[in-house]
Amino acid sequence: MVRSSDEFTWATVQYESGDWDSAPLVGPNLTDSLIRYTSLRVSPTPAIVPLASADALRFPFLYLTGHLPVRFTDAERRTLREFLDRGGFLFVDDHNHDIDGVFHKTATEELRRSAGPLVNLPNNDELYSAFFRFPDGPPTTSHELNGWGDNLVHEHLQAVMVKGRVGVLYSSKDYSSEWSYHPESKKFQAIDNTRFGVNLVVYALTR
Amino acid sequence: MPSPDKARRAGGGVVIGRILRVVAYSAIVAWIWIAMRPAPGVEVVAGSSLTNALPRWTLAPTESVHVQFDTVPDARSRAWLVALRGAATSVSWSSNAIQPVALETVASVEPAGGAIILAAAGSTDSSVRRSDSLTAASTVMLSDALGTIDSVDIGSGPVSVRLGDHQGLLTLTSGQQPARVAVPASPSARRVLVSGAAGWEAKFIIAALEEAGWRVDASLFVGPGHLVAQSMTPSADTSRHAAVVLVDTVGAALVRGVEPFVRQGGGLVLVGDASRRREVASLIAWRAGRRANAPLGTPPGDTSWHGLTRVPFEVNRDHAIVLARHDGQALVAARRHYAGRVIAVGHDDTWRWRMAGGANSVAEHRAWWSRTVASVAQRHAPATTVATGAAPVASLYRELGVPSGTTRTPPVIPRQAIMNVLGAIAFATLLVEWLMRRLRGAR
Repeated sequence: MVRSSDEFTWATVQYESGDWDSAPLVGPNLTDSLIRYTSLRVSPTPAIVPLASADALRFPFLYLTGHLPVRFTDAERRTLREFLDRGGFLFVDDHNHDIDGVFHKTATEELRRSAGPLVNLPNNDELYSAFFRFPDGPPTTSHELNGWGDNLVHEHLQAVMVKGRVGVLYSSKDYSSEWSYHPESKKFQAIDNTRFGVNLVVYALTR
Repeated sequence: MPSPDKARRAGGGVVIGRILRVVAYSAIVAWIWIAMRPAPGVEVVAGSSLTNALPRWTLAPTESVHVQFDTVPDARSRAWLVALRGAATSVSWSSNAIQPVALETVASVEPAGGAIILAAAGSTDSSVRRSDSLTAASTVMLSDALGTIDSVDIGSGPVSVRLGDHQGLLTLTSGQQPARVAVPASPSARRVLVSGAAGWEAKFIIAALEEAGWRVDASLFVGPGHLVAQSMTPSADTSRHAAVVLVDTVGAALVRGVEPFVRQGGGLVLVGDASRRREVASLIAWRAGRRANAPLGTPPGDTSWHGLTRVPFEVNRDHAIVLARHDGQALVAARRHYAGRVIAVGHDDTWRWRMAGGANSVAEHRAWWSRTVASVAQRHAPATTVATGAAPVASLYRELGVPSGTTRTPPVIPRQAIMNVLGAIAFATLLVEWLMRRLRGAR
């Protein structure tokens, strides 16, 4: 049995289809950022939790990513609906940074079916000022700007609203590639690109 | 010229005639006097006949009445009996069947409205017949204008029942005895201020309160110089807030003016470690003990834990009361502080109960937090929304005194018989006196 601690734990969702573990360093890196910038009680060890398991309900913040098509099993859909109904927050990031790739198509279809319709999140939403300020909305990633993938800057994140709150936050911006590096490498960056990840967690904990 | 003997006889007849007239007039006066007096003796009626008896006793007063009740009469009938007693009629009552029952309603402070019903009933009979079924005497029926709402098991003492929607007067029936009250209107809900470190517990307390209809201001600490505020500045104010929830020691440090807020009537909920802060030391009469972790394998929905950790309290019983206790540990304690109320909750991991508990855990978590806040929230109610109560048996005792037997026995000779005799005497004496005069003239 997975037993979460009383602290915030970055929990990556393990699902049956696709490559759920395509960005294994995102968890440790974001955990490092949370400890570095905030006074939140944070578990130093990220978790991996099967979506089909009731253990997923022990982590109110879940992170889901991948490159490959996403097809949830019935048990995964059931748990996801339960998770959202109870107030959980799911962050889904397309590791392909494209606009019409297989992950995007299948993941958004699954989310519509299991959670509800995705809508554009306004770029002045509290998410962008929850801790660090991002006045232009979601920060761009190097993959959007350097021509890889679809060579498009995705203007908005998308969200599924549950009981007036963001239940699912969906990104096509490939933060998974952007954040999947060893935390020690932050010292080589002029501006820490994981700051938006801190906003994600603070937003999930306070809204 | 009549002979002296004849004259003497005539004189004797006149005297007898006068005597007869005096007797007749006396009988008539006595008849009138008796007719105008209240009827002597005790008239015994059943409670079901009271509606007909009351006007009769008013128009033709009787000296003493005794009513045998099956149920407590309504307030109008009781007031009528009291008025008769004030008009010199002796009123007594008795009953072998009345079930003592009491009902009180208090408007809920929760945004969803409703009321808290406090019910008590006696259990003198082994069973009572109700709705074609036999139920234990300690089971009473709660109903409103639309019909039966539910049965309530009173058990050995009074019970508290939460009532949501209802229509018209509430009726609690024990045996055949109903108690009826009007439910006061709910006071308007005001805001709750939640303060603490940003975390799942604070987030889900806020979510639960908002889902229950409370408007929530929040002040959550994320890092030095960084508060996430929802709607307001972190200052407790009775003009805006009904209650303050301090989630942890950080919350207690963030909110300014907690003591004056409670002193002026505000409610305070201290969650877990919040009781350890010196800012609230003057408000509490308990000490937070060592945090305990649930044994491995305890489900998050376990109701004795409400999460997987708990903070027990050492409570000074002279100044506070323990509201919940598990495994010998006080987990919810409360006390008054001037006009306000303070409650400490030893469960500070309740988000696990909501997220990973049973099928109803979200609703249970929501209701639990809403009620906890409502239990201390300042009540700003209109003047008409006072608590109401009904205790018909108590009212009967208060207005008519203790029950008694028929203390006065009926007279040996009924009043009507005396009046008939007096009438006959008057008639007979007048007739004889008239005949004597006629016969005297004939001779």
